[in-house]
Amino acid sequence: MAKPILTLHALEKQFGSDTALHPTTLTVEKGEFLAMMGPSGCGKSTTLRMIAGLEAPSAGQIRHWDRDITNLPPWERDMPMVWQSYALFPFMTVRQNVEFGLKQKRRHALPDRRRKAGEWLERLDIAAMADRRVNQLSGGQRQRVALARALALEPEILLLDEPLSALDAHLRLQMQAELKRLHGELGITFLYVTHSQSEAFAMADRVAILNQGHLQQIGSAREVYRAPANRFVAEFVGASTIITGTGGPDHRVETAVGTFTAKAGHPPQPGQLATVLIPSNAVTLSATETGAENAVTATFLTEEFTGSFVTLYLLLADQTQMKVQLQQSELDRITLIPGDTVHAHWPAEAAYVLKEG
Amino acid sequence: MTAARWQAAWTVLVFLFILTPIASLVVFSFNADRFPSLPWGGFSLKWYVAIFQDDSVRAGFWRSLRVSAIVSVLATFIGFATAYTDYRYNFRGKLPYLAIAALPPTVPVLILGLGMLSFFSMVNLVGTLSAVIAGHVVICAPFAMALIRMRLADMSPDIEPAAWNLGASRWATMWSITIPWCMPAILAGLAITAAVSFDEFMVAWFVSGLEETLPVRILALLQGQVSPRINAIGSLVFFISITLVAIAQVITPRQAR
Repeated sequence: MAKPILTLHALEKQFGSDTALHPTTLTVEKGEFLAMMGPSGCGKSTTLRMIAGLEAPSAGQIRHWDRDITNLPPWERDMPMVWQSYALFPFMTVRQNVEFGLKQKRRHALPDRRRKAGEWLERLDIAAMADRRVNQLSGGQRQRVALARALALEPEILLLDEPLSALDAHLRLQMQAELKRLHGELGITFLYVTHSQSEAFAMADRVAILNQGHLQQIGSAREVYRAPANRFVAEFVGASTIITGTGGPDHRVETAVGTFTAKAGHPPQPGQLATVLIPSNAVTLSATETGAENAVTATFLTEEFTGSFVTLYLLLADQTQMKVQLQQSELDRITLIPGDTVHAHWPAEAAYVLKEG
Repeated sequence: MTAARWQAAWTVLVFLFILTPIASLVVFSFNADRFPSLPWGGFSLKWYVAIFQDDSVRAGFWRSLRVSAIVSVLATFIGFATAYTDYRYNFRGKLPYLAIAALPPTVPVLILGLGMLSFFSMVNLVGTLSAVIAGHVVICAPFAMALIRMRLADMSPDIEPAAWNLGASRWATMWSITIPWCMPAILAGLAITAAVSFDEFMVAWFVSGLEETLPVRILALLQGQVSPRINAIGSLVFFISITLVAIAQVITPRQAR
């Protein structure tokens, strides 16, 4: 494997008696798009701020290639950041904002600076408003200025701290596509912090999931989705129904709502706790009992439409909520009114057992 | 009359009560008569001519002007530094630090003046303009701090880190981001502190000795004789102060961004 561009080694952060980040080690490859995600307070923003040099680690090391940058001041790091609040300089024009970083570097003469800033304004489609003050811009335009300001430095690593969360849904999708395109074109390493798994999964090559200062799992969206490392990741990704029971022989798990066969993941240990994930898109519904294996009887609660999919929520006998995702077209087969009884079943190959301990 | 009219009438009355002495001062400074009484003795600039020919008044005027110029710069600098440490840093004892910084205007000036007199005599500064300047800086700095602190409170906490992140050192960030952002408050602070210093009497009276500032000179004149020259000086002092305060008012940053 190639040498990592950025290495966090046993990085740790305490605020008084609170631990924001427990010792965490991870590496970032050159040119990758790594998303760090988790609920608020999970340590993702603190980690990014430590990488930028805006927070001092309590212990551990940060390396850029082979260079130890743990104690380097932020202005010597060359890792511009795009902020959730945009953090544009309010009394400057768009052009002055974009030129700011170049001006600090001093290696750029004025005409060079002008040209470079002009190029980025052009590239991010904000050249028309170059001489406007930033407080006259909309949120989406401000975010483009913030991006241009950071990218004008032509960094090796770009840090993004929830850059899209202040935008409305439509603009967010548009900027997602644009960020992904820019990442592809520029070959710059993107380190992206977000609480939104849809953003992370839509753009990132790898996602790192944090919770309460612990790194839970790091891997491609597909890996995290298909093989979550633990119950927290499974719940956070939210793609499955989670049922716990006791392991038995031959991949069998005994639960309060029936005995199932679960062949994916880690084989359940007889007599031990076993957590089974049933992917919401692997479930088949029918109005009558089918006699299939891995079947449960449930009460229909409600449905949610998202694009061509519909998500149905069912209640199992032990009050577990079950999530089922169907194509709109499949829904035509079966008509449900809240309170109806419905039968669900799924293939044994799709049911995934988490690793315990 | 309606309640609104009563209110309006009352407001006018209050303003008349406040402004009549000042208006009469200005009016009688142009009166040719020796005594400020009606009927009006005719328009004249002679009292203004008289004060400009009085060396002690002229000297006092220039001293006051010099003192207020130096005080405004020093007090605004200290005010900025105090407000900035409050904005940027968290440290033990921050609350007492701020309380002490804001304290001087709450101490009766008589006590302040006496305290400074005894302190400055220990360090052999009594009777020098430096003593007046030091005293006025103490009184004025909290005003500048309050103005600049208000302005900083409106600055997003991400702005400075964003500048550092783009390669600007702390010093470069201070000059290219923080000071420009605070500039309206800094200018207002300069004007307000100059105004406060220009007509401050008590501290100056205690510590100035022979280096009389204008307010001290006025009192000395009043003690000797009641002359219409007082009206002329008073009008000048009033217009200088009110101009500085008006400048401060106009450039004081508003809530609007």
